[in-house]
Amino acid sequence: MEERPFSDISYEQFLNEEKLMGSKCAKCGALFVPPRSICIRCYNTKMEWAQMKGKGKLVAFTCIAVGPPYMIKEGYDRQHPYCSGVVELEEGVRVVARIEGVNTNKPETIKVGTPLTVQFLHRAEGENLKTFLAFKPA
Amino acid sequence: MRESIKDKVAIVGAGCTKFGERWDAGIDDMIKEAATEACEDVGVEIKDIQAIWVGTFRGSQQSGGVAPTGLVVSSALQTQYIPVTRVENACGSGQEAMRGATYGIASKVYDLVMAIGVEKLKDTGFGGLGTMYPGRWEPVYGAFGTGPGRYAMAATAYFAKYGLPPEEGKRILAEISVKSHHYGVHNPKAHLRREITVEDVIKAPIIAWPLGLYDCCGVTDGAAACILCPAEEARKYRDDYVTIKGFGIATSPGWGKEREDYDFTWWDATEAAARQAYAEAGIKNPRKELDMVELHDCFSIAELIASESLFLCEHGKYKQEFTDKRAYYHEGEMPVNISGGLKSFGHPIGASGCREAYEVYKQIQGKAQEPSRQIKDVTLGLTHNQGGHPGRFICGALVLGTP
Repeated sequence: MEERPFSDISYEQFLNEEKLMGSKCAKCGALFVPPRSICIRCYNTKMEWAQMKGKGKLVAFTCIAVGPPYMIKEGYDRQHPYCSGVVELEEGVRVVARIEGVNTNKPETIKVGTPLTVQFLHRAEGENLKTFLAFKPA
Repeated sequence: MRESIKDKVAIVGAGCTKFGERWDAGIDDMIKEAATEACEDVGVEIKDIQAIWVGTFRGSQQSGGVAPTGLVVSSALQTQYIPVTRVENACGSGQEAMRGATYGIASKVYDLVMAIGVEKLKDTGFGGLGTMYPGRWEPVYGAFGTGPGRYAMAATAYFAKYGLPPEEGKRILAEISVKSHHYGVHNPKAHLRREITVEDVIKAPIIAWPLGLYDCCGVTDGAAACILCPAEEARKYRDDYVTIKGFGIATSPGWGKEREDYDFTWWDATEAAARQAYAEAGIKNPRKELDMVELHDCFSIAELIASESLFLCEHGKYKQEFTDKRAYYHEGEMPVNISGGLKSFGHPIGASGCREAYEVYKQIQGKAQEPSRQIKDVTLGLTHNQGGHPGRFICGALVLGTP
């Protein structure tokens, strides 16, 4: 479907275009998000692009109150924690992503198993555009 | 595996610095402190050591972002042109040094070698929280994560899998930290030496939910060293030597974040390393056969899941088998981290693997510094050291015992 290399650069370009893309092994069908250029199950090198529907459920999470400097710069601190989680996609693979739209000051209200839908967090603009993967409750 | 390592290699001496905020000492001083205690314990001098393996993650501020080399130890100890090899496997570096020394002896090339782990962390400003802006694989591998955050995800997954409400889960974790601090108080070389209560732990500021301040180990300076020789020569040095019974190190393929069957609540690399070590040591029922365990409790949840993944109890049974029975205290049925653990004794990254071996060695000899934490009749103990984070571990398990 697409002629882009199966690399992290392509993956980030797709995120900028609001597409969550993985690679699928043409031989054994294993799916990788983000894409891999070599299948880690059968070592085949022929891959195909596969677009994820962007639906999944929460498998694990944490609300980080004491974060790294770049997150503190974004305004996250002990009064404003941010949520990171592991999301199992409908396609079966798992990704780690920011979790938006949850009450990070009441983490006990966040439930593993919550159905989620993808959200693209755009930062900066133009050539500097960088998009981070996030999910929010469906 | 061609042959088991069992009873081929002996530990005949060990040393450990006071752990803590060592503003009074440089990395050289701490290396000397640990190495000197180890040499005095054996009755040898530095010049008698034929090869050294040093485990260190980043050494000290002196290395200025450049990975340290064996020179960090050769210059501190002024060794004269012997091989000094620096090894590194993140938080598992100390045990990697133990492994180099063990196989150095087993190869029959050397008669007397040293494994030393050291880290001078406080003056580097390192806090384990990550400082690099999300790059290449972000947000996939990191998701703006931190060390505590990555372990915290294992905690929420564990609570969900076994139906523990967050309050109950936090209480189980709090009991672990209370125990670690209790033994820190009774260990003169420990970093954090203050009793805490379950309420203290639960009310402490959150670092990464559900882990609060007292669920996390601190940032510590320290060094620890062990001196090894062939088991058949050990009696030259002492009668109460300790032998290596089994040694497993498992580096995971790092699939944890993409495999749909990986649920973060049990750790594949930990189980693999334990299986290797138990097989070599001939251990069938670790809970029954081991007299003590020093495991890698960088976070309270790490102690919980590692206990299960080292087969000390069934998956999901930690509360019944450890918390409710208070089994992990020194008079309990399965003592765990009676040193105070990484939590309270401290975790100078590269030092921890060697420090755990120091603790088991001393406990076997009946030389825990204070009787209040001496475990009775220790003949077999396990040390467990791991680097990385859940789903992406390098894990080691080392069984030590009486000959």
